[in-house]
Amino acid sequence: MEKITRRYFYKIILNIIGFFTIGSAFIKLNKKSISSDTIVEKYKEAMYYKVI
Amino acid sequence: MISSGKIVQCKLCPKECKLPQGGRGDCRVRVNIGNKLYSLVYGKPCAVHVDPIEKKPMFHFLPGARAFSIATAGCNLHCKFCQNWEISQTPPEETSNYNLSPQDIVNETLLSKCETIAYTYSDPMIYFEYTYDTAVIAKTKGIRNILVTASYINPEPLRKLCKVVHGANVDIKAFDEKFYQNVCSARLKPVLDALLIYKEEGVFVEITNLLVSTLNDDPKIIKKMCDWIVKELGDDIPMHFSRFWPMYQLKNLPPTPVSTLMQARDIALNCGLRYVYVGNVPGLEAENTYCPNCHNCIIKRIGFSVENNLVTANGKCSICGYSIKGVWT
Repeated sequence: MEKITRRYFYKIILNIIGFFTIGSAFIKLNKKSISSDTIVEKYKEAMYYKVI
Repeated sequence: MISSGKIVQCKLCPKECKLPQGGRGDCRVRVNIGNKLYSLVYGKPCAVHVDPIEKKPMFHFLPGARAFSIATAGCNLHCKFCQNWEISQTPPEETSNYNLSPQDIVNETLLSKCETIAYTYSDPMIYFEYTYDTAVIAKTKGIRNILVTASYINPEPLRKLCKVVHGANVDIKAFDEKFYQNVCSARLKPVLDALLIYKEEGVFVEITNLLVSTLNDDPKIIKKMCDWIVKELGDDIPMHFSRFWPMYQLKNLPPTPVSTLMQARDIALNCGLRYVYVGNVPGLEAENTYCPNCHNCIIKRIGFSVENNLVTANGKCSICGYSIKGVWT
């Protein structure tokens, strides 16, 4: 098993911090900015079923 | 009168739920309304993220690419160790959902400069219609579609989906019918059948096996699984052994020991699999890709980031020229 060097340790920490901060920022961005002009149907008829 | 309605049988997954008027499938997202079956989650993802493709995990599919990742509520499996149970084991009324049509998803993917769309987190098979319609549009725009899935689906819908999908990470929960029945509320056989269909249809597949301490980490079962994979799918299919973290209904179990994961990796390599990885343990050499021919490290990874990539655009080891299975451009 390869030992984790100090450099790699810092990278992993930065990865984890980056993942959470970027992820949460993106979610907030989504909540504010992602919008749609398309009216998505309330229910979509499914494929693959049969009436018994 | 409610009792006058007919029974609708869902034919999407092997459970083939029979639904009375107003009844929902085991997945919580398909409902019989007026003798028609409806999806309650079409255009209503509850999770929208940009992830590195390595997080799926897809290690042989455009390394370093960004995956526009979506999921809706619901799942047709009920794994007691589910790592995303907050959305997968919840009806869509109890999640916070966006209102995004398939075209919107493709537009956002392009705006985010993502090369791929990953249908993930819960299971794309239960939001089948949304997955399919989005994948059709994405494909016309040159975006690659990736499924991250337990693949508990009937052959006919899977074959339809395969026509518009480029890659999949398929979860084998355990090579054990009893484990599937007792821990996941499903069966193993349809998943193996699905893997054979992906192969027939030419969809690039990587396999993940989450090892849960004491439940599915028996070396004999792991060997049986790897032997089946080598025989039926080939020795060059990338295999990931992923670490379990105490979650959902199995908080009483400890995280999988790293030694167990490394032992599973050794078993897989001894069975002949060429690309075997250990996941959820950043910093191990088992995150890297090694050329089966010259044995040099050709893709160096730390966590979800790619540090170095020595695979050429046409899929060759740049040191010895050996052909590496995957999608590289």
